[in-house]
Amino acid sequence: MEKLLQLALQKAEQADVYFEEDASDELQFVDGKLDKADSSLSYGIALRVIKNGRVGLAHTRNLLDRQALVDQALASAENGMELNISLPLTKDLAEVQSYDPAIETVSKEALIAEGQRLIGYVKQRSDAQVNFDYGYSTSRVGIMNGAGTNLSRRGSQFVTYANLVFPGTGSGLLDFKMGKQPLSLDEAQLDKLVELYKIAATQLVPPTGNLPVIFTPYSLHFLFSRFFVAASPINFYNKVSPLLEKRGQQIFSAQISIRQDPFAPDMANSMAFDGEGTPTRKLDYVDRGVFKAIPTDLNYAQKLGLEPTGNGFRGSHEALPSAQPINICVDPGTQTLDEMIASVDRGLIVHSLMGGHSGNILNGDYSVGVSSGFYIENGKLTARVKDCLLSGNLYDTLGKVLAVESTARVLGSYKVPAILCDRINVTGK
Amino acid sequence: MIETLKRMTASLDAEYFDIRYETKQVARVVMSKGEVKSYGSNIGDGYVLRVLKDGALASVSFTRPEQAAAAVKKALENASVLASGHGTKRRIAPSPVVKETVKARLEEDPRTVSLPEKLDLTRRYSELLLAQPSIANVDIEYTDVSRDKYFLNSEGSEINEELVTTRLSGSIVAQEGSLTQPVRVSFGGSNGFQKVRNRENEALEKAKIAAGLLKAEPVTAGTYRMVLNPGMAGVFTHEAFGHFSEADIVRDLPSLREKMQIGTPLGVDFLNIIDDATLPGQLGYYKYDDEGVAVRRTHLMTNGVLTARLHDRFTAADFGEPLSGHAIAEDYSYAPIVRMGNIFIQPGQYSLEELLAAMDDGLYIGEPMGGQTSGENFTFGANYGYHVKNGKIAGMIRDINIVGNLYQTLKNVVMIGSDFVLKESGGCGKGQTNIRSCFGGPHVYFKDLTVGGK
Repeated sequence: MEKLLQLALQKAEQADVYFEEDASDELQFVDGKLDKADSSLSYGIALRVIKNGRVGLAHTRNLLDRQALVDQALASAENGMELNISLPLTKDLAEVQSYDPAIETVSKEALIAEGQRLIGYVKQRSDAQVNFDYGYSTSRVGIMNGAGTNLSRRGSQFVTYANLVFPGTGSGLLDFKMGKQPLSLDEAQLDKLVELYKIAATQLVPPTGNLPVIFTPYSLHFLFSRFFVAASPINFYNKVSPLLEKRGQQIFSAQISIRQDPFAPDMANSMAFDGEGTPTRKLDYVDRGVFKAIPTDLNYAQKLGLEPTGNGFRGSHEALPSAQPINICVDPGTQTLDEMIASVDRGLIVHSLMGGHSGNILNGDYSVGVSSGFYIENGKLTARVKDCLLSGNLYDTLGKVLAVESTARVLGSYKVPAILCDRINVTGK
Repeated sequence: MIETLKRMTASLDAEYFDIRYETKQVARVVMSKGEVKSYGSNIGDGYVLRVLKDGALASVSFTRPEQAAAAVKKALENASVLASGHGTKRRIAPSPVVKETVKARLEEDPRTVSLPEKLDLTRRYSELLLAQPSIANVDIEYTDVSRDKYFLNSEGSEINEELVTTRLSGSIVAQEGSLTQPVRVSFGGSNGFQKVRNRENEALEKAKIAAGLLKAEPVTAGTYRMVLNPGMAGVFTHEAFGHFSEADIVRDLPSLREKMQIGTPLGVDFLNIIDDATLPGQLGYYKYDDEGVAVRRTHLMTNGVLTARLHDRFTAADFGEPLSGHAIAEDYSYAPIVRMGNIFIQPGQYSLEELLAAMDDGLYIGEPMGGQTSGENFTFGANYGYHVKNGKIAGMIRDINIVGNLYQTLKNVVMIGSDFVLKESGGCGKGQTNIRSCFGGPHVYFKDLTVGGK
């Protein structure tokens, strides 16, 4: 890395070298039977150079010829993006727990035994097809630049999930746990899945109309992803974001706060620095419904005249850094999920949706199919819903919040509670 | 390279193994609102090893040649863990040994076009589109992906195949006040750079549609008669039926497998669905899949009856059905899974005018915006559409997402058009991204399709 950086700095004004190394394993049970054991070992290194105010990027998985990589980066900078930044000198960062050594003690044999025990537990209580999955990985990420930054971190991730499949289909009921250390699904989670599976034996197509809908944490991604497309600095820079003039204004119900906490100890992606070596920080994107901030990388912070927020992440070593939020935490509310369900006379609770990547995302519009959801009547789940769609607009939907669940669930880079919204357009029959 | 792969696996003791090494060169130019965002050409490489031992199939992907011994050890450990945990027993269907080198069939090889010329081309489209009325932003990206794949298996197959994909794609955003409306544009294919040249008039048509969407009304929720354009009919075929013809999906859902036996009537008796990656010139073209099996034209549905499935060598053995050559990996990071190559409804006999006249009142649905399948349900979105009144195209509509059901929607086909158009860019995400997933077909008239909205 050091040699590559020095070689690049002979020709370029500024440069940084970024690497990532990852080892991951997966075990999968399909229909209760052990089905898959796969592994992956990957490595990649990227050189970013800035020359004559333009950026170039070159990357490889096997660094055989340093000079060739430097030349490739310089060729990329000849017509690259204009970039007028100074790469940061970052040091003496406070330690952030991103790695738990317990990950090294994971044994596939032990996971198989546990998986078989938990599948047996479900099978005693239900005739559902049960799929079970374990995935775990360790990683190392580092960045070094000409300003003197030299940072690295280790990471560990563990995820396990159970899926009870609805008969004759591929959709079903899912629950999981994610974190930095080995985790097990608990029997209470499985009991809940079994209970829902029994209700799902009854099915109905809901009537078309406006109904209250509880979005569970698993289903909420499509809403927050629309917010973060609108809040992305490139859409501010291009002046096409619907949030362009909305800073300081109420955009959602006062019950909705969306914050970033890169240091959250219970989330798997916690980290002290981003893909450009900028320190990460806590950030309030939406505070009690008021739009406060957007995430920035060095590039767009400079172009928009904002402070860099340490959100310059590289999706992989093959990409230039771009502004992405991390560890998105939605404030919990005051009601339990059971209380929220009990408060609904006629409505839906949805667990998973499909088609969230379609439609006018920048505008916040959505029209999504319900792949796993239930009808609520008089405060009780009565049937699984099928062949129906939910449609609306992010700002309207999160403006009509009736309740937010009192606990938030960790789901990858999100920590979110269930949210009950009023008068959602439901298309059924 | 084949010799290196032989050395890496020389001491491997198993019933079957295969190893694939790939280089992937990607040239990319990204522009947003007239400014360059990314420019360069890079190469990546890596290996995927699969081992079948004691009926257990395990895979390991790795990137550095010095990791080969560790990868072999890990694959054998994974197979042994599967076997001792009473894992699923896999059998492999017999397939001919092949020794062949296959070069990409290109009219104009994008690798011979300089990066600055690719930038010029991208910039010309970008400037042209940005100059159109009501257009506030154009995000546009040129990419060519050249994969050079080396495949070796324990049966003696040695195959080197090249796949070169060219693509120019973008999002044109029209704006009025705080309302924005995006329309996608994309050109490209598997047979060369000429696919992205001289397409300005088609790009301008898309800019007009984006501007038109500012005045379009959001679609009203309900169940409609609809004529789908060929792209949309293609997405329908891919989402509504195609995924359920992928044998790995069906294998992993035993209750679905019972319902999806060969010989089961699923659609109207004039509906024929084919996957044909062998058609030259289209996006999904390839000769050998990532198990070294030659791909073949597969009649999935014949006169409404399920007649075949898409297979890899393991699902073909499990189902006792013929090989089809559909084991496809995204790149060197992945073991192959069963993927569609180029799926479409076989054209019928009616012109678009005849379909619209027969429908009388309903919706005419334009270009697709992506779809998703979950169990027997699927959704597919459209970029734009039109009301049809008395058989004539009327006002424009937007925000269209259609929901359907595998067991019902294939019976809702009323008439099939005689035209035939295949999409030039794809991107199916089934755990891995397949940028060559091709689909299309004729215009198709359906009854009783449900669209969401107010």
